Amino acid sequence: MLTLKGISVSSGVAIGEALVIDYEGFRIPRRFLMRDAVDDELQRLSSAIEAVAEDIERNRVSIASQLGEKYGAIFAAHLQVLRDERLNDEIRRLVLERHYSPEYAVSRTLRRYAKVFLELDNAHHAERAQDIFDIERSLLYYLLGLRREELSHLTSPVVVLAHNLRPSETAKLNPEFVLGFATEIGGGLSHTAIVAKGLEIPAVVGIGEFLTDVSGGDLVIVDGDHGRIILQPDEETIARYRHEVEEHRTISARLDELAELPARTQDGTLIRLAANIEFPHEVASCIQRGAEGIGLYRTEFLYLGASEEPTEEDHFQAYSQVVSSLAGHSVVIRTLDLGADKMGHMPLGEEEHNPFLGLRSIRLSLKNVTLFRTQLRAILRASALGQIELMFPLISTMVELRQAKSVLNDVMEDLAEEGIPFDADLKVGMMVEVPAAVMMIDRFLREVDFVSIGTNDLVQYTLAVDRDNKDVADLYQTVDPSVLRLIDATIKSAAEADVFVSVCGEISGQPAFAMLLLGMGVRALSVPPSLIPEIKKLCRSVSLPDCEAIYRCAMGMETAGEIKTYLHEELRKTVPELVPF
Amino acid sequence: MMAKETVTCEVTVTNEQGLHLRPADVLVQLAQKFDADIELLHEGVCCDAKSILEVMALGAGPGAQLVIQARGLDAKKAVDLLASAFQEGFDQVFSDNAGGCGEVSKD
Repeated sequence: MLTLKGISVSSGVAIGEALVIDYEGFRIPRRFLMRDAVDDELQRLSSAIEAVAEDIERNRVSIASQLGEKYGAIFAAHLQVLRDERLNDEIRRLVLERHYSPEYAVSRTLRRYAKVFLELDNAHHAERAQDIFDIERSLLYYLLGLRREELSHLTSPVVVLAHNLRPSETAKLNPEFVLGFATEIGGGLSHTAIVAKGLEIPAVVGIGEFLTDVSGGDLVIVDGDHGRIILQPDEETIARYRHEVEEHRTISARLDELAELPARTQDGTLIRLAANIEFPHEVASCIQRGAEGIGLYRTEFLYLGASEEPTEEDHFQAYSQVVSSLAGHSVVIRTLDLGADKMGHMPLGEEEHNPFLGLRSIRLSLKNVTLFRTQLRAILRASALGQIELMFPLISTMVELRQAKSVLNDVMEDLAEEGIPFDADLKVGMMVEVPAAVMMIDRFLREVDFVSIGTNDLVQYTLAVDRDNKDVADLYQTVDPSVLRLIDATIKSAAEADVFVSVCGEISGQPAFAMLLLGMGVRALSVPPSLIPEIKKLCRSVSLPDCEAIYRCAMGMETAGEIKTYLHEELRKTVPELVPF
Repeated sequence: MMAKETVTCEVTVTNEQGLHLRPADVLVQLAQKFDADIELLHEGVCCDAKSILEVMALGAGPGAQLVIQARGLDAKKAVDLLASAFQEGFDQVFSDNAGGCGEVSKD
C-alpha cells in the first residue's frame, strides 16, 4: 500500500480500477482475462513482440547506415531487452497463471524494471528507465492497436490517472464512467481541477511522479477530502473507505430531502444560500438542490483550454444558457480571473516570477481592454434576458474599481447607441480578496452595489502563502485569526453602509466555519453545488444567538489550530452528522 | 567431469559509464554464447548474466567490483572471455565484436 499526498481540488472519495493515461494518451485496459481466452492472448502477445522486434531491427539498420554501428547498437540493446528471457517468462507467466491481459502484464513487468532503474544511485542507469518505457509504449502500441483511441468508449467506471489531462483528452472521457481523477502535476486552477469540480467527482492534483508505481486495472482510492491517493490499498483500508462512501451516500440522500425547504435558522432568520459554478450546465442541478441562484459564476472555463480567445458570441451563448436555467433566480457573473500564464492564446510579457502578484485577473482585463470589452458586452447583452449581476475580481485600489466601471460605462453607451437591449440598472459589485481592499472597504462600499468576500485569495494574500506550493501549503489556514478579523471588518462596514455582502470561497462550504460566519453577521453564502444540502442543513439546525456566542469566543483565540478545533467541537455538539469523517 | 565445478573470477567495471545499456548488451550477448549458467554478483545481489534487464538492474557503475560465477561444461571459457571483456571496457569488445565472438561460437 502506498499513500501519496497531493492537492485536493474536488472533494469526495472514489474507489475503482485505475485507467492510466500516459504522456501519449495510451489507455492500459483492465487486468483479467477469461480462462478460455488465455491461448489466444498469448498468441497476440507473441505477435506484438515480433512486430516490435521487426520495428526495432528496421530502426537499427536505418540508424546504423546513417550514423554508424555505434548508434545502431542502442537499438540492438533494445532488441536484447525485448528478447530477455526472464522478462518474457515473467510476462507469459502473468498471462498464463494469473490471467492478466497481455497489456497489463507487459506494463506491470516493464514498469517494475523501470522503477528499479529509477531508484539506482547512478544517474546514467536511472535514465535507462526511459528506454524501458519506450519499449513498453511500442508493445502497447501493437497490443492495443486501434483500441488505443477509444478513450471515449469507456464501458465501466474507472479512476483516471494521468500526468496531466489535456483539454482534448478530458473532452473525450465519458463522465458517466469517471469515478475520480488524480494527476502528477497541476494546481487548483488546472484544467483537471476545473473539470472535476464541474463534474463533482473527487480529484487530487499535483501529486508528483507516481504513474510508474501503478498499472491500469489496479485498484486505487482517490481521497478528495484529504488530498491523497492510495495505491494498492490493503483490505482494511478498502473496507474503511467503502464504509465512508456508503455513509456519505446515506447522508446525502437524507440531505437531498431538504431541497424544497428554506435555509431558515432555528430562530427564524432566512439565509440566502447560493451556488458557485464553473459551467452553464451546472445551473439546473443547483436550483434542483435548492440553491437560491448563483452567487458566483466563474467564467475562466471559457478561456482555459481554448486555443483562441473566446468571441463575444461564445461568451453570450454561455451566459444566456445560464440565465435560461435560472428559474427566476439571479446570477453573479465574475469577469475573467486568470493569470496571463493560464491563457494559451495570450502572448506573455516578461516571465513572471510571482504570478499571484503579477498580471492576473482584473489587472489583465484592464491592460487588455479589448478582451475585457468583449466579455462585458456579452454580459450586458445577456442581462436583457434575466437577472444578472456583474462582479470584478481582485480589486486592490479605488483606481482599479473606477477604471473597470468606466470601461463598463463605455460599453453600455456603445450598446445603447447600437440599440442593443441590456439592463441599465445592472448591479455592479466587487470581490473583497486582497487585504488592501479591506483596509479601504468603507470607501469601496460607496461605489459598489454589493461585495463578495473571496476567502481563497484573501487567505493567500494575508498569510503570504501559495497553497499550491506543497512546501508551505500547511501554512495556508482559512480560519487564521488575522483572516477572520479582515472578514469581520468587511461584514461590519457593509452592514453600516447597508451594502449587500456575501461570502464565497471555501470557508462558506465548511459547516464548522459557516457557523462562525453566521455569528459574524453574514446572511448570504455561496458554496459549491455539492455542498448546498449540507450548508442548508447547517442553517436549519443552528440559532443565530448560539452562532454569535461561538463567534465571540472564536475571535478571542490566537491561533488557527485552536479556532479550528473549537469550531469542530461546537459543530459536533450542534449538528453531529455534519462533522467531516 | 568438470561440469559441476563452479568457476569464479573477480572483475572491475572499467568503462566510463558502468554497465549501462550498451555494455550490458555486449556482456549479455557474450554470455549467451555459452551453455554454462553464468551469474554476476555485485554488492550481495546475484543476477543472470544472460538477462540484460537483470544485469542493468545491478546498477554497477564505473569502478564497481563484481564476481563472475559460472557452472557448466564451458564455464572456464565463459569466465575468461567475460573477464577480458570487463578488462577492455565493453566498447572495445564491441568494435572487435566480429572477430572475438566468432571464435567462441565455434565451441
